[in-house]
Amino acid sequence: MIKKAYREQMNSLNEYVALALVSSKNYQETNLELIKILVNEQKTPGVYITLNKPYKTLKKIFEQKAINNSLIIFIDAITQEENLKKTKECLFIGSPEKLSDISIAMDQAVRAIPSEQKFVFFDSLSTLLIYHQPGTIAKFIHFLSTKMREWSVKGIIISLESDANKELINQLTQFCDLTLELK
Amino acid sequence: MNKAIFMIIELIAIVLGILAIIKFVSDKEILVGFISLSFGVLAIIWSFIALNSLSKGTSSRDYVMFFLIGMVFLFLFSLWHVLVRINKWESRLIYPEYIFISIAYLIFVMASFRVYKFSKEFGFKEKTKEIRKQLKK
Repeated sequence: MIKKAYREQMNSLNEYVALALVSSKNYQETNLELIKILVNEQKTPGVYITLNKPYKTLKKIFEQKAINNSLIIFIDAITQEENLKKTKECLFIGSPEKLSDISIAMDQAVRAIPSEQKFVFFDSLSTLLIYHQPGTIAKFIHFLSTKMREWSVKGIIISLESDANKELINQLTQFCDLTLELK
Repeated sequence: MNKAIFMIIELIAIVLGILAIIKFVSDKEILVGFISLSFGVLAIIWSFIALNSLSKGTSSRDYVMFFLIGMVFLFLFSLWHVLVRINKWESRLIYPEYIFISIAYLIFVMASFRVYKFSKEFGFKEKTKEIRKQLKK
């Protein structure tokens, strides 16, 4: 599903900030394919920030698709928890509204990875739109893309392709090195 | 460029402020008290700005909140201390000073406990070991 040209770009670059525009139809398969490339093919450890599916569900899906979970630190901002909760594999933030905690968790998780090459997978921008004003999200994404460069990671920000977030995507494109149109 | 100019202006203002305090206040203890108070005000302002920038209900905001309250009590302690010195207060009027500093310490203990919990929540030591093992395979 992911074009050969995109795969080649992802393989050739050691660090980048990519915006992946995904159609709602192929959303799950595309995400899985991207993670497979990063974890199974490139053997890169990284951080997966989920605002869409709870960690429990993701873990099951990853296991079914033979994705190596042990190379991933999960940050789950969608499972409802009153306070922060942590297991060995995952940090539960409690709500996508807590952008400060998400930012701190990402920073700590990325810096905890003992490898020069690492990835950050942000799933997804579209979910943030449900909880925040577009202006707040634009600021957060600018912060995130700047941080991704500072961390020298392979950064992928997932967004659903829809009319609702077109303006935001246009803004975001200028902060990113690659735009992967994975429809 | 603009930022650098602002920083230089701020620095000059701070130095001039300190020099003005030194010129007008002869008692050394009161002098140190005024300088401490001006730094206290700055610390409170920055903490307050930080508090308003952080998302509600987050651990970082909780910590800043405790820190800010602690700073306020520390400020009150310094303020009362300066007032005692200026007005040469005695006996019972000295006690609030001890109350303010005791509360400040108590709140800083609570803030430290928040930081301790914060480090537990956000630390990924165990996972680091696991990833290292996996990468060696």
